[in-house]
Amino acid sequence: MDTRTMRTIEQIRERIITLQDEREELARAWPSEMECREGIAEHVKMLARGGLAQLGAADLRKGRIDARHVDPLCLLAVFDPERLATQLADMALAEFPDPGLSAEDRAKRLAKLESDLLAAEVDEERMIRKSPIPIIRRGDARPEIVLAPDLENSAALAA
Amino acid sequence: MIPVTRNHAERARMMAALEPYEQRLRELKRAATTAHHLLMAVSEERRELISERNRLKSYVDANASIDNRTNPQGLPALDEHASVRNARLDLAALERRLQEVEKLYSEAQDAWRPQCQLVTRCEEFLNDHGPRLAARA
Repeated sequence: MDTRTMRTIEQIRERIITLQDEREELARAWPSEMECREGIAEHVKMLARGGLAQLGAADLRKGRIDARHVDPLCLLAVFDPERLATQLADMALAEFPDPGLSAEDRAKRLAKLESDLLAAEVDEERMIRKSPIPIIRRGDARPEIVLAPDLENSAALAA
Repeated sequence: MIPVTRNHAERARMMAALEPYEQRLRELKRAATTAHHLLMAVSEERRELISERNRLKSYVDANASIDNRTNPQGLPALDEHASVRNARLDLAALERRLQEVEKLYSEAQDAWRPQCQLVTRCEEFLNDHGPRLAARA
C-alpha cells in the first residue's frame, strides 16, 4: 500500500513538473505575426513621440528644424513611421520565423494548463492526506490547496 | 457602541470561518518543527563525529612513524603501537558512521527545507487572502 501510494504520488509529481514546464514554455512563446507587427507599430509611435520632443514642437511649428541632436531612429519614426514599422517587423519576423501564438490561443492554452495543473495538485494533496505514512509536501505546493479544508470543491480553489 | 459590537461580531465570524485553514497551518507547522528537531539532532551528532574524527586523525597522523619506533632497549614500543592501532581502528569505524550520518543529514535537510518553505508561503497566503476566504465561507 505504502509503495503504491508513493509511486502514485511520484507519477502525479512528474505530471505537475511537466505541466509547469509547459506553462513556462507557453509564457516564452512568440506572439503571432499580427501581434508582433502591432507591437512594433506601437513602439514606432513611441519613438515618434520621443523624436518630436527632441526636435521641439514649438520649433517645428515655426518651420525651424534642427535635427543634429536627434536620434536618427526617432527621426525616421517622425517622418516615415509606416515604413519604419514595416521594415522593423519584417526584420524581426525573418530572424524568428516561429509562427507564434495569438493572445487568444495563448489564453485558451493557459486556461487548460492551469486547470490540468490544479487537478493534478488537488490529486496529489488528496493522496498525501490519505496516506498512512507522512509524506513531505513540495515546497512550491499551492497554499490554497494545502490549507483547504475541503478538497472536493476544486472549482472554488481556482477562484 | 453598535459599530464596535458589529466589528466584534464580524471579526468573530471571520475567525470562525478561517479556523479550519488555521488548523491546517498549525499541522504543517508541527510537521516542520518535527523535521527541524530531527535535523538539529542529526546535525549535533554530525558535529560531534567530525570533532572526534579530527582529534583521532591528528593523533594518528602525529604517530604515523610509530611502526618504526623502539623503546630504549631497542625493542618495538608495543604499548604505543597498541594505542595507535586502536586509534586507527576507531578512526575507521568513525569514518563509516560519519558517512551514514552525512546521508541522514542530507535527508533531514531535504525533509525540512520544503516544509519550512511551504509554511512561510501558507502564512503569507492566509495574511493576504484570509478576508477573501472568510467572506466566501
